[in-house]
Amino acid sequence: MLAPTATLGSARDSRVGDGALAVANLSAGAKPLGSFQRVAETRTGVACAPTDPPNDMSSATTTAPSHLEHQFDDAQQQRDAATTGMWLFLATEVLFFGGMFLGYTAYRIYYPRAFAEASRHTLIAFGGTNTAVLVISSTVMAFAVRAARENRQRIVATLLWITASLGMVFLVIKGCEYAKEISEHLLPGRSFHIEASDPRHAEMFFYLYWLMTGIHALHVTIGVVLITIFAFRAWITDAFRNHDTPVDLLGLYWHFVDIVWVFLFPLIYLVNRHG
Amino acid sequence: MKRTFPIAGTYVINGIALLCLLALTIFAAYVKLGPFNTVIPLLIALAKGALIALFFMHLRYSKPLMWVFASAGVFWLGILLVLALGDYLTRGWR
Amino acid sequence: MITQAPPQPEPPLTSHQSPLTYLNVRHTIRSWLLTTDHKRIALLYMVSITLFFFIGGAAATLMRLELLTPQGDLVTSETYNKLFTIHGVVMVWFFLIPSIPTVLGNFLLPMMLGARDVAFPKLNLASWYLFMAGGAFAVFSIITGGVDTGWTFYTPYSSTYANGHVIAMAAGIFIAGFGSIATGLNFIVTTHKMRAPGMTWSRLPLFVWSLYTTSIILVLATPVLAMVLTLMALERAFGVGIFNPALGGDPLLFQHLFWFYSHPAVYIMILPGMGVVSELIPCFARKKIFGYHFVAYASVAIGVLGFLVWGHHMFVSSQSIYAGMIFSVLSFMVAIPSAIKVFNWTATLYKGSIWFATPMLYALGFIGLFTIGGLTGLFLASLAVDVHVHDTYFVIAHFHYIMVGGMVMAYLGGLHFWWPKISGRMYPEGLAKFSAFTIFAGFNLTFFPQFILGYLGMPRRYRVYAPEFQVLNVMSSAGASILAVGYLLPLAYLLWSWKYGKVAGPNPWRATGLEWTTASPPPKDNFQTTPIVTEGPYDYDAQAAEEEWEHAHA
Repeated sequence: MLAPTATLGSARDSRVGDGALAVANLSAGAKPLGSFQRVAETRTGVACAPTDPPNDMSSATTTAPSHLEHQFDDAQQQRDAATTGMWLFLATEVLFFGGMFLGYTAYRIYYPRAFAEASRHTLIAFGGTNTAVLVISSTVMAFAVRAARENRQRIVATLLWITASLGMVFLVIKGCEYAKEISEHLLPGRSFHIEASDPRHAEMFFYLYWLMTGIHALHVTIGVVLITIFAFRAWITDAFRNHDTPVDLLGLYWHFVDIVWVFLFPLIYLVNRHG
Repeated sequence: MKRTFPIAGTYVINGIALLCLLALTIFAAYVKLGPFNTVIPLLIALAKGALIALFFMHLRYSKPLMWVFASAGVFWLGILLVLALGDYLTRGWR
Repeated sequence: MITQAPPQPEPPLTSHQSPLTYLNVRHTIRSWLLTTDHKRIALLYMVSITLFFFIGGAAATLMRLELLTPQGDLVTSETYNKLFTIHGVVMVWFFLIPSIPTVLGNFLLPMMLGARDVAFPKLNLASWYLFMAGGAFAVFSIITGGVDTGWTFYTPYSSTYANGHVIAMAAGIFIAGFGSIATGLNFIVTTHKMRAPGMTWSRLPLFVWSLYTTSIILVLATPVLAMVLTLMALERAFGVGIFNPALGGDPLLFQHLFWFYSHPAVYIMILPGMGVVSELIPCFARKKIFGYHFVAYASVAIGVLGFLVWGHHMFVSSQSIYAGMIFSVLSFMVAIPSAIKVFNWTATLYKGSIWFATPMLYALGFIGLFTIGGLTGLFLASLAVDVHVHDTYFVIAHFHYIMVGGMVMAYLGGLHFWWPKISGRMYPEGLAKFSAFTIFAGFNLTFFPQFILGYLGMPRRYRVYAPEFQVLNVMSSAGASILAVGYLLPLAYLLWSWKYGKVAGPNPWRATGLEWTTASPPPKDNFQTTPIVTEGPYDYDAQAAEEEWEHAHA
């Protein structure tokens, strides 16, 4: 069911004990499953055996064997596993935000007027700018992932720094917005005050607004911290040379954070601008 | 396996498309469109999300398994929304 | 399942020359606490959940003691509320949900796939630490005053009026939940990416199928629980939120979100048990499983349908009656794949060469008790009947038949079955059979009267009851004491056998499956060489087994 991967004849056959037997067995009975093809190899208790010569980059994958963890047979398997894991994590995140989305949708259906009125108190200039900032940072991140694949470490570091800076800009703008809203008594709680026909459910809108943007901002903060660490590692060390999977996964995370914001933006700022 | 990636121009075009959609959705919000004032921003958000997933996240170039996992979260969110809203929307019926 | 060597009574594996196993490769505490070996992590989990099982069991014991008499004479109402909350929270999140997946699943999944480890061993260890951190919060909350909301944390009670450390308890569940998510994620990726050559999807052991489905539920449902507990805690801490009617909120929103997790969580608790039974039945009937694909897909169907039925917990809330009807119909549909499984297990037994070893006793017990639990679930899924028995002991009896009669039986069955693999030793068979019968008898005596109690109208969660219910309650409490003995016995003799049991050898059951082709206990990387799979699981021959038995006893 999966695309065929690197053939058994790759360079790592050098550490194979009786690979021929494996091939014979595979063709005899087993239906080979592309990415699960393995070669029987003698285990010596050593976790992984990076015995391949360092110039051995001729195989189809770009990861150096020294990054191979002992449970994997080859770099392709490791990369596939990591990428699959990241997508699953993002699926988890969708459901994590999902609870708030359900609350938002139910109350917006029940109290459309309160939500429309409350939404007009949000600051669209901040929100719109922030959307643009995140979209641009996502674009830069896409180039960083690309540069990592091409092993251009300095460019990776530079692009990651730009991405992290844009993430910081987003957080600063968000912070200014929060400050302005607190001064306008839009933080739910005792001091909350709004001129609206149904202040109780307007407050609920703002509760959901603070909650959803707050948790999103938490994700942005985590992203900025990680991106900064990755940028330094790319600049100082050789951590991502021939091993771009981590940068790839970081990119997936950052794009996901962007997608969440793309949905939050209309739900918060655009409920009723025309009225 | 050869990992296919889009050319650099794709990212630029994608970024520009996302910014255009942003402008469009803000513009549409200020025009009176009746019920479409709710639908259009959501459709645009879906389009933007899809563009990010397909091109920035390389879903367009990924194996079917990734499509399954990427849609699983959305599908299950759909279950949550549809069945719970099935309650909220029919509570008034008598 | 054939690997390189055809199955032999005593497979002469090379591991006999090198006695280095996952257990004795290192001995320091540090080597256990920082291990990334899935087998050692499984043992860490086993010790932890056993501890939690006895904490939850202690709370249940006190409850059953209180319920011996109709008057409330042992504990106060408040204490009683805290006891059933502790019992529920600890048993659900710190025993049942982790039980089979994290102990047997962790230990067996990579071996059943022919892999050296799970895909992310460090994440696997992190899961255990998250679990323990969550457990620490829960224990802290219990020690410093407990929680009296019930394990369901319904708002607005939990968010406004409840006493005790609700937030600490919620934080514990939240943290342990992320451990669950990490485990589920790990298992899914492992199943997809770590299979040995030739291990196609239709050659996967059925235990793997059920673990896979369980993992899907863990990954997709648990985050919703995390969010709803966060919302509840925020509402309690800051007095702002979306659930409290006083704030203009809808308390049913909490229930929707809570049960979106907690109903599928029921399937987290039963599916792995079904997987274990699907392994035990073919082995001890010496027969290929009947309808492999049906059993496998039934797991997936139960997992998916399980997400569509949560509203049946809310029939007597103010949920829309139309939504109630939909949820009722969907709930009935879960019976279809469940029945497929039961029928297929039964059909597997037909003309099998049945061997009543202890694991088989547990498996047969599971089938009977699960069937009772499942069928009474249909009573509860009927809108009208549920109005009558909602929040009575009928519900308690129903889900204990699933959770204890199903999952705990399966866990113990699996534990006995794979104990030789885990420890390298056999447990004492006679004592084990005795305790299996004790558990079965004690269980039925405890919970069957509760069906009647519930039907007669005794509500759950009260320590005082009408005097006419006393006979049945005394029966139930008496059964609980038998059950307690039944649970303490395996703890004792399994610990004893760890050191003094008969050496088991690689495959004492002569079972198929990759995990039995390696040494007991297995070496650190599970296999000397990566196995190559050429056949499906359950390659048993009932006729040969019968002939062999006759030959031996002639």
